[in-house]
Amino acid sequence: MRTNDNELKKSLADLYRVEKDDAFVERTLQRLPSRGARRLWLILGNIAIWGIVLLLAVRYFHVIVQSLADVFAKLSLKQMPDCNSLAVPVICAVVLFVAFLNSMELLEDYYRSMLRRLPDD
Amino acid sequence: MSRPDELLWISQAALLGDKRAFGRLMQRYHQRVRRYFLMMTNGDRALSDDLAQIAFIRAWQGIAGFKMLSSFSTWLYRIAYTTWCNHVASAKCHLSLDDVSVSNVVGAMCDEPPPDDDRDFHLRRAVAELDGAERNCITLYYLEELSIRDIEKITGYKQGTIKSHLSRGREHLRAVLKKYNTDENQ
Repeated sequence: MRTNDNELKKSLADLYRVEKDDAFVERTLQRLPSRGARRLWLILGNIAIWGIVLLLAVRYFHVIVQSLADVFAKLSLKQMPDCNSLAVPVICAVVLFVAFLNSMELLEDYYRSMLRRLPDD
Repeated sequence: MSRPDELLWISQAALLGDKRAFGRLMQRYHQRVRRYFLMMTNGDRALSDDLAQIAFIRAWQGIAGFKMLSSFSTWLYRIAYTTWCNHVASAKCHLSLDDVSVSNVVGAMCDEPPPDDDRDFHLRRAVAELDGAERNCITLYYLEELSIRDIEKITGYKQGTIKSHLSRGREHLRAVLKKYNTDENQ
């Protein structure tokens, strides 16, 4: 049984022999896509998201402040804030969180590119 | 488990996008991946190299998501396997996997009729006659010498299914080998 297995292995290995081929590796390396485009999209996405955050913050500044004040006033009286006053802070938190994540990704990408510039040896 | 130098190359490729580190990984694994495709395509070297290249490009694109839950080779074979499945799915518009494989081999062989004692020809033909799942299991187990557990991770088949695929494929190939061994002894 084992001998047959070994014979089968050997026959298949002989039949489908593949030699080491540096040219294949070189060709494949040349075809690997660059990750530079991703960084550009991250920067543009970051500018867009923070731009929207700023515009919304300026446009609805008084609404946000009023809502936060309502929420804190209710909380200080140990009452549950109602849905209407909670909605604006929750939306703000979500938008800020998304913008924060996006920035973190950009920062990570930036540090990677900095590290890439270090000498290898 | 991946070796320490391999872990370094994986980290460099994943975190820094270092193509040279990925090149070293390719140096280590390209023969195995190309051999997998060579058997799956029944000896079509051009197609197998194309598919191996696609698999390595996909590995490069996805290496940042490699969580090291399995060895690098198992992860790479998983990519090779899905690349093969995608290739078959696109070829299936016209023919089934078995039709494609058998017709490749038979088509290539029709130009010059083989001698009856050509063992390689008949073994190649026997491989072509295996169905896709059997050929995958036989390739990964006998040619790449992976464990059944690893094959389970790569293909997603249950261990029992893999064993039955191996058993059927083995019997088929052994019959061919036995015939030629008997002929040689006579």
